[in-house]
Amino acid sequence: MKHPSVEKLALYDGGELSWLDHLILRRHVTGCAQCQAEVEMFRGAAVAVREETEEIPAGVQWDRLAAEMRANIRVGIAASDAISAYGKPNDAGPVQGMPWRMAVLTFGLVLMVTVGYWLNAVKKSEQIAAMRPPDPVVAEASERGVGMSDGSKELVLQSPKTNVRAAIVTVSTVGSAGARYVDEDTGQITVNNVYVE
Amino acid sequence: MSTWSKLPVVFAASVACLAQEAGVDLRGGLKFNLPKDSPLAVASLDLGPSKATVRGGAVMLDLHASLRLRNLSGKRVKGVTLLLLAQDVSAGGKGSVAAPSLDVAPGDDFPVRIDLRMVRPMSTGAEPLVQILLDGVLFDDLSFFGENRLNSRRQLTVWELEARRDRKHFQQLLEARGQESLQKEILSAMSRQNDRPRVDVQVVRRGAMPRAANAPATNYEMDHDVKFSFLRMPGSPVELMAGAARIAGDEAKAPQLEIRNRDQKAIRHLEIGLALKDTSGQEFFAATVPYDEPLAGKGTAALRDSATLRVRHTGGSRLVLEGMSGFVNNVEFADGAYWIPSRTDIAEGQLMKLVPPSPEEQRLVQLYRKKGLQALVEELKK
Repeated sequence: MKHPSVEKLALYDGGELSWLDHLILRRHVTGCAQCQAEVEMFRGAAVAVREETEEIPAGVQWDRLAAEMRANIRVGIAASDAISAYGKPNDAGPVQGMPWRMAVLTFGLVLMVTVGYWLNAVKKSEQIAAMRPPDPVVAEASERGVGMSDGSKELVLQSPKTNVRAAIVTVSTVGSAGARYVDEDTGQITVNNVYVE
Repeated sequence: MSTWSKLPVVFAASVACLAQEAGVDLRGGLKFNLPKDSPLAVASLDLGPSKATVRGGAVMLDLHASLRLRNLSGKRVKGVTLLLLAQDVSAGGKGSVAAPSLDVAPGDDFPVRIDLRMVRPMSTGAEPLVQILLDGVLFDDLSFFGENRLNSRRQLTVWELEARRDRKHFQQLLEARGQESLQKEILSAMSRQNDRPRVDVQVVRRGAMPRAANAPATNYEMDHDVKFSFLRMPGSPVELMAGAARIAGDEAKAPQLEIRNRDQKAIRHLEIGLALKDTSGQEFFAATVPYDEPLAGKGTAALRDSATLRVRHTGGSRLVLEGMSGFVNNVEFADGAYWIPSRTDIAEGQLMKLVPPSPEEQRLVQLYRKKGLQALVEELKK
């Protein structure tokens, strides 16, 4: 015959078991002399404690004090569990914090990757710029004048002030642009050209 | 100190004043180099509102020079080309100002205007911003003086031959049919000049043309090959046999031509005029394609060019090209002789519209416009 544990018999005597456990244990204790003896021993101890509680100063309610002590013990156990689980891998959820060394190491890695990527990007853009051919020099002939430009430098021969509009504009495929002007007063012809080499 | 030897000093002083006004150190910024034996001398120079300014690391020169040159030679001057050299400007930075169709007697002066704008990086070097050199002078006997770095001799000679052709044409008309016929012809020439389509043209020798500001943002226009149509001149010593170019939107690329020398004489240089046609049917002279390789008598040659042209209406509106035609503009033979189209060659309607008028015809038309028929008649009787 299997007997209940001493702890369960103590809880049975104190009336702190659930109603189902209390019913099962009462059936066993009623038919088991050994367990009855154990319960009697616990009951004697409880009487002794009660006699001791009479010495507690007036105004102190034992039951309330006991309830508070149990609550404190539960809070302490929960806090202990939380501290012991701190930093350990937890399958149930994410890690709740990060040690400072890990933070410093992570920051260092992120910084190194960022700087490396930036340096590589700068180098690549320089390589692409070096590979790209220079902007072609464009020679243009228009009524306002002839000119050439590569985007940053330019040379323009403008139309004379008295003749805003060129009579003839043309370009040559060897890279020159020309504009021909007629002076309104004298009829003298001026031909401006620019040459791209 | 003679008058002419004082001129460089006067010029330098003018430049110094220019530099002070602009707050830019232009010590030696402009340099006028005439050779010691030059048939021309600077009679006067007015820099007018010229100025130089510094913007960031760049110098911007805005030059408006009214120059008077004096003919020191014993011959009549028929044309002049001045070479403008700008250091540190893109791809050589050369320009020229030419005055064709002149008739300057010995000892007389004539004006030349130079209106130049230049942007270049600030330089610590001592070289001048712009050098003005005499590239060439053509005289009435077709003799030439000058360094000829721009092939000015050829161009000035072609202009002078065209001038003689057109003066002769108008003189013959006047003598044979009188002033009324001359007036009719000059009005016809004026009409052709006024009716020429107004276009702006760009060229790059190699590589892709930078994207135009008004290019369509989404429509990519595919290249397609277009064959040339040739405008034949009966008297031309060169025959255009075949030709093609790639056309995409407002661009014509890489013209290729097959040419044949019909003459026994070898050719040193020839120039082909290109006329472009847009989708509205309008045709306009836009470019020239030179050929500078020796071409033997009766020989043939292939001309391959890598240039790209872009044309747009003056004012910026975009046009779309659909065809090209070519004609022989001038030829220089190896013996130094020249061929230019005769008035008969260009009398055909389409050619008359496309071939640009000679500077002399433009000058005579302006004389008629400004001073009337009688002044034109007197000019032709000189």
